[in-house]
Amino acid sequence: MDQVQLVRELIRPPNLSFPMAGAMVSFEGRVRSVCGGKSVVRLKYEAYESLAVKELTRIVVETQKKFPVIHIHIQHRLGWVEVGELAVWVGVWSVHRQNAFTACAYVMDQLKNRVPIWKCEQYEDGALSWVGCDDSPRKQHIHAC
Amino acid sequence: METGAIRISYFAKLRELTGCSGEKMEFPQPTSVSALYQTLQNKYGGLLDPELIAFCVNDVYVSPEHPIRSGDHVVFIPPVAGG
Repeated sequence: MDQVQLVRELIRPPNLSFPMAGAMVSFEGRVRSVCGGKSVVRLKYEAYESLAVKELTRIVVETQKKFPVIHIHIQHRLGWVEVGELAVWVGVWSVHRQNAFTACAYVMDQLKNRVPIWKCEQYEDGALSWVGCDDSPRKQHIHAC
Repeated sequence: METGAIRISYFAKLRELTGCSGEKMEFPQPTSVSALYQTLQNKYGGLLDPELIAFCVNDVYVSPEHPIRSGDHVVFIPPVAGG
């Protein structure tokens, strides 16, 4: 199974185990019903897929260099995702729990900061909005690397 | 720097603002990736603030000064929002 997956169906977290892993930490990012005070009915994720897979793979490699973890798995949804559904799933296996907690948080921070995936929110009135583009602008943190 | 033909892809908000998912373009003068974005802002009448844009050439993030070369695939990355 690929360690990094962009999926158009429901995310199905893998059932993996590693004999040396005494800890497994996972993070589930779910679509919430309210964002910035507006009622969200669903989201659409779009990706620059070739670069997104490369960046996610780079994040896995970087994380494995920074922290002594055994395995990392990332899945991210694309297309329309309903409220309550998983948008992203990250799992980290390590010998002890602390490295798994820290590495999992690091993966998510990097993913949100630099992976070319975009989120379009649909509100109750049918209006659509690209997060970070249509609302108050925020400075990007992506630089040449 | 050289001149020639390049391919540009647009995603998300930029795809909506340009009305297309990509285009091929000749650039008669040597140019950087940020100067190319400025040219496209003039063509399409605005687009997104360049401060919000990250630049990508041939699947690698590059600096705004990165020179465009013939045959390059250029992507302008709007604010990302994965997760």
